[in-house]
Amino acid sequence: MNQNPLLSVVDLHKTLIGNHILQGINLTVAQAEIHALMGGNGAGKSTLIKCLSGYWSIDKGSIKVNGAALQLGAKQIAFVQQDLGLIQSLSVAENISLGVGYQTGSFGNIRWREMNAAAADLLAGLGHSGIDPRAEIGRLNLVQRTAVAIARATQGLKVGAKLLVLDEPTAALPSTEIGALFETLERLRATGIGMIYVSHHPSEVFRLCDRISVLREGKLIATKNTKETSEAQIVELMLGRTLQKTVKTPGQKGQQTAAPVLSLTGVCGQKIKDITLTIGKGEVVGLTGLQGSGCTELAEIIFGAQSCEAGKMVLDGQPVVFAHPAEAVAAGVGMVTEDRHGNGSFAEASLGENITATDLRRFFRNGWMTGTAEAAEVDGLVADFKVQPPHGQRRFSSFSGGNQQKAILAKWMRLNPRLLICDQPDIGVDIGSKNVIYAALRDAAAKGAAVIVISNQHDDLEAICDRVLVMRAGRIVAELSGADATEHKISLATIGTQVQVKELT
Amino acid sequence: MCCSQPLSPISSQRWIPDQFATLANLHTTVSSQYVLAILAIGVLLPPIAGEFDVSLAMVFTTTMLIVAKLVADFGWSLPGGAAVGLLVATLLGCTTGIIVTLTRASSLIVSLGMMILLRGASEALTEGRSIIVGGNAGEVLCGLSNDVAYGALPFVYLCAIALIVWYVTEMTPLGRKWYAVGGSAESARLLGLPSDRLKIGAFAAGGLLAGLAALLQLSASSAATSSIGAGFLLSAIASVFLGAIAFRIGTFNVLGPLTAIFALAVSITGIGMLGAPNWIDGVFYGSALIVSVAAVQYFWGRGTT
Amino acid sequence: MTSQTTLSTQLGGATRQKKPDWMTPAAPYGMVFLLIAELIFFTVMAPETFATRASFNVVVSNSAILGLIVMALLVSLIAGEIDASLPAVLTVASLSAAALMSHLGWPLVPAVMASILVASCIGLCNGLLVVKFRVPSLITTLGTFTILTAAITGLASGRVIEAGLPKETLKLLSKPKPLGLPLTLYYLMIVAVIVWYVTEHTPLGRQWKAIGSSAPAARMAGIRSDRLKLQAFAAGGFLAGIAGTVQLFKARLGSPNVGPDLLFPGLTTAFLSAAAFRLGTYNVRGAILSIAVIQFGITGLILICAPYWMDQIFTGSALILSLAIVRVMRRSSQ
Repeated sequence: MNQNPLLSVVDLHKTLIGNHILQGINLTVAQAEIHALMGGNGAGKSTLIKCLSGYWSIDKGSIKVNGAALQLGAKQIAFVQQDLGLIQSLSVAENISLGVGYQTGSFGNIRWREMNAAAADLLAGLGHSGIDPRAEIGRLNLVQRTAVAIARATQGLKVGAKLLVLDEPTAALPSTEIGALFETLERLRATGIGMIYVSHHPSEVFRLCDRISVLREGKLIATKNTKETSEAQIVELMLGRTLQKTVKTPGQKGQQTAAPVLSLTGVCGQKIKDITLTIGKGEVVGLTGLQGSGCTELAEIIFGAQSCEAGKMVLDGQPVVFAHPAEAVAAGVGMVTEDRHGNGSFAEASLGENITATDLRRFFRNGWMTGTAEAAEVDGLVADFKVQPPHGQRRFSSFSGGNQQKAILAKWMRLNPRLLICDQPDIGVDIGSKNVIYAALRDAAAKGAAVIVISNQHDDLEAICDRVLVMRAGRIVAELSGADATEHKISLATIGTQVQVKELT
Repeated sequence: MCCSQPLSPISSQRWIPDQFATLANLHTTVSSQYVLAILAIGVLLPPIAGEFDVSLAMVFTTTMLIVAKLVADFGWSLPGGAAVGLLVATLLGCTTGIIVTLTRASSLIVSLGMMILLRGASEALTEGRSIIVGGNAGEVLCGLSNDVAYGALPFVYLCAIALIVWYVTEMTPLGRKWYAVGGSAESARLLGLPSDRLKIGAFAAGGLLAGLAALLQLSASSAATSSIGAGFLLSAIASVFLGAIAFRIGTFNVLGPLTAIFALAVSITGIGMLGAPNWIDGVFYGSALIVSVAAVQYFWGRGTT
Repeated sequence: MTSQTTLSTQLGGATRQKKPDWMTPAAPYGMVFLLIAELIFFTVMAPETFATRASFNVVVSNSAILGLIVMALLVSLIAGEIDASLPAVLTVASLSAAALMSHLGWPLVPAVMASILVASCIGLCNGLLVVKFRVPSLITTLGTFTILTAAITGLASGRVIEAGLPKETLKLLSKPKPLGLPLTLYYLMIVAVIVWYVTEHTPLGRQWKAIGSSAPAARMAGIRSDRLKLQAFAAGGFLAGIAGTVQLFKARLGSPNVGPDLLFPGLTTAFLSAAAFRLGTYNVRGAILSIAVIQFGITGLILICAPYWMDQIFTGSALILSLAIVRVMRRSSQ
């Protein structure tokens, strides 16, 4: 297997801003191998990928692809970048062509017709014939965008690349779409393509990959054959310690008290219809659904970020209509948004300023902002939520994804909200941080808050929720509580009728 | 100073009412705007790649002064002076681009700095005088823009330049890569596109076009002063924005500024016909800018912003 | 990028390209050293003229109006928008106060208050266009700048308003020199302290900073961006109105020529403020320091008999250099 590796990375070192990020990485990928790369946030995965793509130059060591040294612009490797790396304002076909170059005519002009046709073929081959190659990326949904990113990578393979690197390609995919992606990847593997697959999810990795390499703190800790290892062992390697799964203790389940915190009756919005639900004090309710099912819209309507077109909303016995998130915050509602970089945080401000932004008045004493009181509160929260490194005055963007998310949660928890909505709190978050976050949510519920968690990770929902609501096409289609709220049943309910049709035929 | 007379290229022309609808009149409107139009196309290029260059109006002035000085004071040949002028213009654009990519600072601020610097430089070149290109070179210069077929030549230049820029931005990989970098510099860099070099290229191309505009202005007036470009700055930037928003919401392309410039020029000519005082131009120009942008945003912009 | 900095603490700083240790804490004060170096340079080059009371007075009297307009510009910049029309608003305010006194015979106080109100309203209108119609602020305010300068040119026809102004009162408001410093400098100091207090020590200022750093994030944190932006624009107009008033006191006549020329120097100084004290953030102390650096520089250049165009070359280079400094410092202080 290692006789003629497709990719060999030998003793790779990379230092950025004085930090030794990669410390002697050795990695090989063979032909027709899917090689998983795992590690917590800050382990060095992204930097390694960026070295492979030529984004960063390397300080020491070598990268060889098919025996030849890595060259910039030689298109030896095809990529599906983290967050897909598509350009919103350009068309589908243009995004695909940017990877390998445009086809040009004799005057240096782009041959648009051929380019669009080639893109359409490529997408149809991936089972997405519905995507118009002339459409702007900004108009596509996340599933379609992922398809375009993968189409771009496969085109890279067609023009000679033998290695494909996928950096968290499933981040935006619901579980039903993941199967189709894996089929595509397995077909590519059968043609001799080697792959590096970066993921946070052990379940995906064990389903797909041949070997697993684990990175921690810039070092390659171990490379294991998938068949000879277990999820527990990999997670241990990633964390460098034994995993303590933080789940709710049995008996908490279904601990719904009589007093409802939030009740919606017939709530309608742009994409959601006739939502009726009640959430009680101390309850953690999961909300899940396929892409476009309306979970985020529902959350934003409750939070006042989108307008409620019809229906009634009652919070703690008071009928409310929030026209702006400010009103929701004043009423004791908090929301961790899905798009952490877009509307969840102030990247250039300090971590502390992010935490205190929701309520500054409490530090405003005698006509003065008291810096010491603010710093003390931030330090306390940073310690409570185990933010690493524990420096509240550092720039927010310098923290890893998991630590950013912990800080965002801290920002809401310090207000002791009656209702806390968390939209995909686990995206781009390593396992250690995820446990802290879920423990904090259970803790909030224990103190009497109502918590809504939106997530596509059905095993996590099973672990932390008292009740799970499943949405489809803007409606709530299933409610699973107690012993019914299992990963399997949630997944089935999410897919809904599609599966039953398949079973019949 | 530019601020007190931001609209000199438009307000400098006056007509009497019965001439308004004639072909000759239209042609005059066009030819009074062609320098501005070429400059505006130059100002358009950096925004395609996601950056701004407000120094181009001063690049325009500096180039004109350098060419005039070389030809008039140092006795260079016209082609030699023009070549050096275009080279300097391109290099100035290039320099702004290099500073922007090196400092990762806002291009608006960097080019503001460049603009102030170049204002000083152009004062230094003229020391308050105007440089007149006379003699043989002056005649050749005039011949480049004047009175063959009713002075259609500048119009031909403008069309040629607009066509070339349209072709490059819409039909060639280079142009599409500029749009890609403008859309997301980070994604473009991850794709292996040399973002920084593409941006610098767009700045340089902007500088080159400002240089071309300077040559044509020189050929029309045969004289160069340090104050001439300042009035173009706001008009050129405004046309780019107006055009971007009127044509393809949120993206920049060649047709936009051209349409905007001529629509405004024609309207302002019309207002002049009605006997309104000179300064009404400014009010009209500013209002047209705000109202059109506001209207587009209000009726079509919902959801796209 | 996120992974790199997290590791820095875990690894305890494995060093290879690290900047010298003194650089990081010194970074925010780079411009102070620049000012000191500049003062020493000019004192050595022009010992007879530069280090004198007279040259100091020139600097101070040039700084006051510019400083006031910079304070106005700062507020909108901190809130993430730019109000380029403010220098023209200054002229409108000073002219309208003069016109009210001269043509309508109003007393000083109501005339000044009315003109400041007009200035605030113009700011508010800009804000409404930006907030309600979502017009990018640079376009809106370039538009209003053009309209206002054109209207000033047209209505005032280049003439100053001098007749009928209460000369004696105006003299009293600008002539005295407590502690030997011109009164206009005290106006600037008072305004600067207020703007500093509001932007850095009240929730309002912190919220302006929040919407300036990300409006969508501010919205989802329960901060009313629209209302705050309106307030910032109105505050900018208000401060430009005060600047216009001080200009009227200083010149003792209403002049159509002063304001618009301040656009580029004002913007330059406001942008420069992000290169001192709070790197990457527009701030009042930085703005005051920038004014000092630029005005001492320009005065010094005149005194060492540099050609008159050197001041623009100096200002332009200072702006570009400061950006480079911020870049280098940010790299080392990450």
